[in-house]
Amino acid sequence: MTSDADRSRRTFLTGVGIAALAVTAVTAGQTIAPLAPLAAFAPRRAGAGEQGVPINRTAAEAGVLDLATASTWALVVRGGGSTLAFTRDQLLGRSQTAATLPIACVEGWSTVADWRGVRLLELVAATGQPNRGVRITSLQPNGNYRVTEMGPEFVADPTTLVALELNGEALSMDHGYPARIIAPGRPGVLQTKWLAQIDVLS
Amino acid sequence: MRAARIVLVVLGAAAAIFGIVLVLATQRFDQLLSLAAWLAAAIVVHDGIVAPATTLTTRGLDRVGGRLTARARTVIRMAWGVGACLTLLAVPLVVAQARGARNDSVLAGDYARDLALLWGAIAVVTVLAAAISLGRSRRTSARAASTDR
Repeated sequence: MTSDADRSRRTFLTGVGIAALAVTAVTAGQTIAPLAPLAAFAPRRAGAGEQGVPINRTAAEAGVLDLATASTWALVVRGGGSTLAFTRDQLLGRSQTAATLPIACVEGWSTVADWRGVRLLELVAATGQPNRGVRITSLQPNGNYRVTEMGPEFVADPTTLVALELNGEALSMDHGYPARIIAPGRPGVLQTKWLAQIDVLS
Repeated sequence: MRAARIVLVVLGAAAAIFGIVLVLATQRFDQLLSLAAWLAAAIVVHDGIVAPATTLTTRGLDRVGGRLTARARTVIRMAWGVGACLTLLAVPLVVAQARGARNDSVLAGDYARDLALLWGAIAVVTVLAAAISLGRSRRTSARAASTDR
């Protein structure tokens, strides 16, 4: 025979509560930075990965190694009938903006990082077509997110960047060299790496 | 107490309804289908693996644990439940790691070691809690015996 204390509702709820706390404690750290040291069973580790940020798709997986390192690379920005091209040095020569923004992956991890680059809204304005959305194309030959669109509300944000640096260093290949998008409030899959072209939508 | 319970139930139900409405309003049909599959898998894993495992062990505990206090048996049961949940989290990671990670930043932990460490910690806490409860019940029964005289 078991006593009431042995299998009471209170005991059961206490057990469930402890289990829920334990499960949360060992996983939540992959997105909540202060809990990171406890995140034993998170697929991602805060700070693990090149330049302190985890990577989903490497440059080799995406098949962009040759294109991204080509000396002929330039970011093409098209809009209002004009076509502009910026080499990485030309982008670095423009006024640089720093932003601290997270990569927030739909897989459940997020990591905040320091980014530096050119404001997307300045490149869009250079085409003479301000306050527009854009279509962003990556160098990668295929993939669901090779071509994505960004609404004017994201383009207008002053922290939306064509990023050239990550955590104080030039973007690594796997983080999107020569240039990538970083914007606030967008899922990680839309933070396009290895930029090829930006079309200003009419 | 009764009023507090009613308030909690109403709040909980309202939150659940809000969540359901939000899911139905924002997700496409195919997304809802994969959500349903995911939820069904959670039930299968619970009813098919976790519940049988914990039931079997608690039955075994009832049979061999007669010398333990009821409280000590409760502590062991809770610890087993917590350990089962943590194991459930770790197993897919260990399996995925054995199959090879996608790149260095994925599956960066030593999950098998951490699972062993956590089970060790659970065992230590359980033994301590059970020992404390055993000591307390001995003292209580000793005191009860002395007041009987």
